[in-house]
Amino acid sequence: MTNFITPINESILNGSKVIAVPNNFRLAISNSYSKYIEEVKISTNKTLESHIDGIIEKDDVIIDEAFIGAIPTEKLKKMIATNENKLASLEAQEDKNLENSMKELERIISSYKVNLELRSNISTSLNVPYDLSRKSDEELLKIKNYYLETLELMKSTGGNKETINSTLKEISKIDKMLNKEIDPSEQYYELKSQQAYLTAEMNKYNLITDEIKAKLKATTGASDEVLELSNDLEKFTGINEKLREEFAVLKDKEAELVEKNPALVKPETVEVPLIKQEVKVEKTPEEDLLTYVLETATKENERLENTISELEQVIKGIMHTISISKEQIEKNNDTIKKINNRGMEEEKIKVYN
Amino acid sequence: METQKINIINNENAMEADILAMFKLEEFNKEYAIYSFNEEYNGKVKIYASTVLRKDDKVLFEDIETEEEWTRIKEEIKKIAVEGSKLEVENND
Repeated sequence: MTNFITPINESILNGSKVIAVPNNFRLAISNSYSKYIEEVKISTNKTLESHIDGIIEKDDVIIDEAFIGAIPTEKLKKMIATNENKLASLEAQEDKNLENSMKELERIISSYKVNLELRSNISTSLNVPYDLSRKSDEELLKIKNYYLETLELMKSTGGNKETINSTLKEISKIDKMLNKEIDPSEQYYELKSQQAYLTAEMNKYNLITDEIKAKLKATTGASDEVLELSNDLEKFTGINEKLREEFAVLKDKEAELVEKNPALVKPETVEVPLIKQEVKVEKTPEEDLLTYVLETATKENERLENTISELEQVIKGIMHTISISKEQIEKNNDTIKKINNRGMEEEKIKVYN
Repeated sequence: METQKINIINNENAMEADILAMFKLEEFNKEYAIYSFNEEYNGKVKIYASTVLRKDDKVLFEDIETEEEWTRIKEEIKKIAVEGSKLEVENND
C-alpha cells in the first residue's frame, strides 16, 4: 500500500527525473491519488462535523439553561400549567371525537346489517318471478325505501359495486312498476306465464287433495290417520284457495291490461293446434307447363335408354353372327381349294391314263 | 475525479502542473512528488518525479539522488498506476 501524502499548492523546482508514459498510465496514477484525496476530504469533514456537533450540543444546553434561568419561577410554573391544561383538553377532545366516531361507525354497521337482512329477505321473495307484480303500490314503495336506505348505507360504507348495481336495478324495476312504465306486451306475457305457473300449482294441489279425499273415503272410523289426512286436506285446500285467489287477481289484471291495450289479444296469439295439415298449393300455368315438360322429358329419356340398351344387345348378336360367318367362309374357301386341287389331280391322272 | 494542481516555480517562473501523486517511501524516509506539465513526447506524456523537501515554510522539489531510489520510485509509480487502472474499471462497471 502506497503511503500517500496530502498535496501541496506551491513548490520551487530545483531538480527532477523525467519519463514519458502513455496517457492512460498517467491517468491511472492520477485516479489512484485522487481517490486518496477524496477519502482524506471525507474523513476531514467527518471530524469537522463531529466537532461542530459537539459544540452545538454543548451550546444548546447553555442556551436552555440561560433561558430557563431568565424566566421567573412563578411565571414558568404558570406556563407549564397552562400548557398541561391545554394538552389535557386537547387529549380529552380527541378521545371524545374518537368515541363519537366509533359510535357513529357502530350505528352505521348495525343499520347496514339490518338493512342487508331486510334486503336479503326482500330479494328472496323477489326471486319468485311473479312476486313483485303482486305487490301493491304501497308495498312496492316500502320495498323501494328499504332499497334506497340500503343503497345509501352501502355507498357510505363502500359497499360492493356489484350489489350496488343490482340494488339500483331493483329500484329502477320498482319505479317502472309504480309508474306503470312496463311494456304492455311484456306485462301481458308476464301475467300469462304467472297464470301458467299458478295453474300448474293448482293442478298439483288438486291432485294432492283428490288423493287425500280418496284415502279419507277408504279409511273408516275415527283414527289418527283420518285426523292427519283431514289436517292435510285442510292445509292443501287452503293453499289451493290462496292460489285461486292469486290467479283471480292475475286474471283481473290481465282483463284490465287487455281492456287498455286491445291489440295485445291478436288472432295470431291464439294457440294454434299442433296438427299438421296437408296444404294443397295451386300451381301457376307456367309451373304446370314446366312440370309437364319435365315429366315428359324424363319418360322419353327412360324410353330412349331402354331402346339403346336393346340395340346394344342386337348389335352384339350381329357381331357374333358376323364373326361366325367369317369363320365359315374361311372354312368353305379351304374346302373349295382342296376340291379344286383334287379335281386338277384327277384330270391330270385321266390325261396320263 | 478532480486532478490536484500545483504552482511550480522554476527560475522564478511559475508554472501550473498537475500533481499525479505524492507519497513517502519509508526506506528512504523521503517524500516524493509525481507531476506533469502535460507535455507530449512521441505520442506519450512526460511525467516528472522529484524529492519533496520541506524547508522552513517552503517546499522544494529536488532531484532524485540515487539510482536505487529512482528504481524504487518507478516501481511505486507502476503500483499506483495499477491501482488506478483498477479504479477506472470499477467506475466503468
